[in-house]
Amino acid sequence: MDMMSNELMEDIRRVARLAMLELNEEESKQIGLQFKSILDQLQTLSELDTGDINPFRLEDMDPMPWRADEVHTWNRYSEVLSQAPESEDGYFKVPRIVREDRDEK
Amino acid sequence: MKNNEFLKLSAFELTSGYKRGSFTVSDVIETVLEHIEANERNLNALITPMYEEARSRAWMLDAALGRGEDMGPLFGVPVVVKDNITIDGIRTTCGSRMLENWIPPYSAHVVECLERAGAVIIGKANMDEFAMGSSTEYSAFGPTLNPWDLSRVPGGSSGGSAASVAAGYAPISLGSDTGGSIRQPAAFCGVYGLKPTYSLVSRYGLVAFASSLDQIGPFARNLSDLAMALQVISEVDARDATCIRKERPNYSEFLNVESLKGFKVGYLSGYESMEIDEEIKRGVTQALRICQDAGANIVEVKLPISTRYGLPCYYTIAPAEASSNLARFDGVQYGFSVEAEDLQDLYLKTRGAGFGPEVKRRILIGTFVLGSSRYDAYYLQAQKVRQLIIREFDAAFSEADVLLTPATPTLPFKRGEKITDPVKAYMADLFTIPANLAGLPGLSMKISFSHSGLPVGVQLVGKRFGEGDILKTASVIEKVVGPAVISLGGDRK
Repeated sequence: MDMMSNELMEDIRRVARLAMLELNEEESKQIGLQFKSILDQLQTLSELDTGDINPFRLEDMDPMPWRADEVHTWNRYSEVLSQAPESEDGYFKVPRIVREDRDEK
Repeated sequence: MKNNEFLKLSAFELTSGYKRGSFTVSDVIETVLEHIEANERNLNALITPMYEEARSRAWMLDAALGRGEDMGPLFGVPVVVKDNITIDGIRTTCGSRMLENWIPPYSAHVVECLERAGAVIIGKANMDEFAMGSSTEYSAFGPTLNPWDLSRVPGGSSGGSAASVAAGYAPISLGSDTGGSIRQPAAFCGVYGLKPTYSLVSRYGLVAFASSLDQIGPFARNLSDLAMALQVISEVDARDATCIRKERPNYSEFLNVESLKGFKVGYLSGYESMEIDEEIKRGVTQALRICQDAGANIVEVKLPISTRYGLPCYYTIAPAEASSNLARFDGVQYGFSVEAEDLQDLYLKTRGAGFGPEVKRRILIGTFVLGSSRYDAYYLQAQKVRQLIIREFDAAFSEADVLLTPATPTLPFKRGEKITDPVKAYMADLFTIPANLAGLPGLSMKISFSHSGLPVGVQLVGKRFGEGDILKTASVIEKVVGPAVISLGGDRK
């Protein structure tokens, strides 16, 4: 593997960690092969001069309407909790958050 | 009437039949369910058929009819709903292992609308995982096949919804369209598929992919059913903050036109020399001629930025939004989950094992283009290009009332043909993506059949809230070429 693809693979590993996605070696390789051609395509956008354009212009859009802030009762909590992999006493249960031996980076 | 004749009836013919007492809702639903059972092994258009629910709903409707109760506009009409739209108590998988066993405790707004209108929902349609794909091959529940040729894909991501209508499972289905996911499969399956203007139909209960682009819309085999379905699902809803409050027109009224005199139909400058299938080019030319014969002025419009940069613009913005929207699938509150040591481990493993390859690819691209060192060059630049595309359409619509373009660059492709090359696969959305970026309505419809017997589709794009202009133009074309027909593996019925 040349320098360029090593750099790309490092990028993919970093982005996968940010996105909380575990990838195995095979997947990383597969995605690495496609990532470059996709990014090359995305980069063609830089050919366009977009200097003074407001990227989030909304003036032509109809304004979003307000809705009344009304209280509705809804009591199907147990159904919602029953969808959770783990729950206890009406709460979602997760594995421990802090682990003493984790090497934080 | 022979029972399998029911499968060919339009929604309108069904409701009039019930009214006259020619047949009952149970007669029709029973026939439809048998038909589905006999064909699903081949087609795989549905992830979850709703046999029991449909049967009891049919009995209930027949009883209501017996009591002389008011019939809704879709009374007793079988409808298929894409599996990223929630129905209370019925699992919603989004074609993903991540939601394989998720049972939502609420129904989408459009589902409530269908139920109020008297429809019988008969199943949840197969789709590319989380609506990411153009072939329905990225479903965790196996691919859907094209009813016109079982060796080919039905398009995607709403491939199951399109195939259901083409195969006679139902006269109407619902899909969602983020970059062409209704219009491209409609073209591949030879049926009508409409993506409404952004904000016309409430997205409450639609599992989000890219929130600034997603819209729910109907499939049908004729325009009158399509207009009725649009009427039913476009009811105002405050639960989607973007859902526009203004009154909807009566869409069926746009279908009563005899001529297009004084109406301007635009065509894409230079489409004859683009890399498009020759039979599709001929389809566009044929559709333009029909409009011209009906009195329309045919005008040339230029959309160079949309055509050249629409794809990279979309494939920056849509993954960026998806990477944020799909962060909710973390193995904690619902859905797939993997045993883990600690919370971070739970996130990493659940998402690593629960998502398929295309979803992972797009989450990674989205995370990449939103990264602090890339944000300006990729994401912000794409948003600026999106503004250029909006301006370009504004200019085009000062010349034309409606645009007539190809729906896809190719005819339905073979299964497995594009799954290994995402950039090539993304090309399938070339003509549909710009309408999502600009928030415009678009319809694709069958214009003819290729020499090999595959449907050839064209697309009509309208101004914001220009659904009426689209329906008007399409109805002139439908009067000449006829409505869509049913197929099961190549034999036209």
